[in-house]
Amino acid sequence: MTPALLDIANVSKFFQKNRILHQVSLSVWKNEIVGLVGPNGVGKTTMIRLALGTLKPDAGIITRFQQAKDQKNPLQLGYMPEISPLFETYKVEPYLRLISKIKKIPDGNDFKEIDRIISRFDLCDIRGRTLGNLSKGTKQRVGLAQAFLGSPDLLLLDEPLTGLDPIQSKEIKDIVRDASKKAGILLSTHSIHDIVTLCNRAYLLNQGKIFELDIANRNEDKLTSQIIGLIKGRRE
Amino acid sequence: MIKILFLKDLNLFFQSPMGFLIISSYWLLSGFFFSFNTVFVSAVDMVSGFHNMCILLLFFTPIITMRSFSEEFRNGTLELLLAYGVREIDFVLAKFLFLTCILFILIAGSFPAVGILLLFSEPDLGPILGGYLGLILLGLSFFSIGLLSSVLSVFQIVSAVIAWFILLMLWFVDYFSVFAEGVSKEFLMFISFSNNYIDLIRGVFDLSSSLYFLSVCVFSLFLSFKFLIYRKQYGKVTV
Repeated sequence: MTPALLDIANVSKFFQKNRILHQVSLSVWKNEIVGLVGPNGVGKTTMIRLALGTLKPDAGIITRFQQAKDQKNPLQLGYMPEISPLFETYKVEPYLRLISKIKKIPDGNDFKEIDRIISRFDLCDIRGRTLGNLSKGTKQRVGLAQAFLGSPDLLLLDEPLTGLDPIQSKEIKDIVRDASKKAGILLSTHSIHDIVTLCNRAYLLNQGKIFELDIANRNEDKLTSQIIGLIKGRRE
Repeated sequence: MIKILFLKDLNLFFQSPMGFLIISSYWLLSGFFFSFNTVFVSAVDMVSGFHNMCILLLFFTPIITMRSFSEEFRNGTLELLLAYGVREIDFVLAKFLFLTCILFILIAGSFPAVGILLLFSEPDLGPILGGYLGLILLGLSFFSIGLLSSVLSVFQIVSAVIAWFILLMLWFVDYFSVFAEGVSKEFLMFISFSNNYIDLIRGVFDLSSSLYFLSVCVFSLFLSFKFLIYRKQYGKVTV
């Protein structure tokens, strides 16, 4: 069996004395979208930061890209935080070129890849525009474009559809679905609709614990009831 | 990777009008003080010029360095680049390299003054070159402290205030030596910026002062690196 792209095993995280995550386990394999839902401040972003490696767990083990050990080319990561990570004075195309260099996309392929991403995310008309002057939704699209640059093997998306209008949201969902044919995706969201329409598996994060959700029947109402039941059950 | 990050910082600085405004203001003010000294005090050396440049640098440093890390924290770009495999040490070194480059640009604004001195008098070049070395060492210390202050806060203005506080404390710390005796008095004199730079800008090479300024740089860069690592362990620990 192919090892998981991301394996979070019994991870705990404390901020000062507050327990944010307690023995949480989760895996993401290739060709799947794993959803992460939960109330605000429950630790979804912390979980994604732990998965990224920009935050260290207090207990447990996080393994990324286990199969990369046997491959010549290292596997690529794509990350889109809640707020688009942009250098405001940069223009769209130079920004993507900078990220392609940081991601170590080989010279020669980078221009082709940037052109592909610009056309895929419908950024052709604004490729010369300064990032700071763009609307919130457009900034979000540029932020997502950088995450998908280089066709990453693992994508960590923290509420990627926030701030997008319905048309943009549908386009991005199509891109995420397409990407999942080659990659594993961990997607944090507040939307039950996104979980039902996009994800292969989903988890609820609540009071430091993780619960696997049953999304097999793709019914939004049932899933909402299940989530409310789990949250209230924990509180009681 | 350091080269990519260095060029990114240089682009960011010169892509905004703020970069040009800072540099032109510094050049204008240091030029004004040089002209004032030459015309009204009839000074035909660079000592008072270097002194004024040091004082100006003391006030300009926080303005230049405050956005180094603070802005990257706020925009989420630091986390993004760390996620893509950039190491914390690369970040610190690239930013220090960028600030060194800005320091050289600021200092280069005084070259016309030296040209004027050479044209109309016969100044001793040794002290002038020595003075530039002192100014560079002092400037690097200022900038490394500014960089450290920037790691401590997500707010630019807080970073700037921390930097000003540390720099002014280290500048005036020898004033407190009147209240101390023995080793503590010597220690206060030893860590004082104003006490250490004075011989250097006169062109007198002082090894212990030079080593002191270099130590300040290394220590500040090391602390900046450690704070970035500390953030990784404990999340947001900034002011």
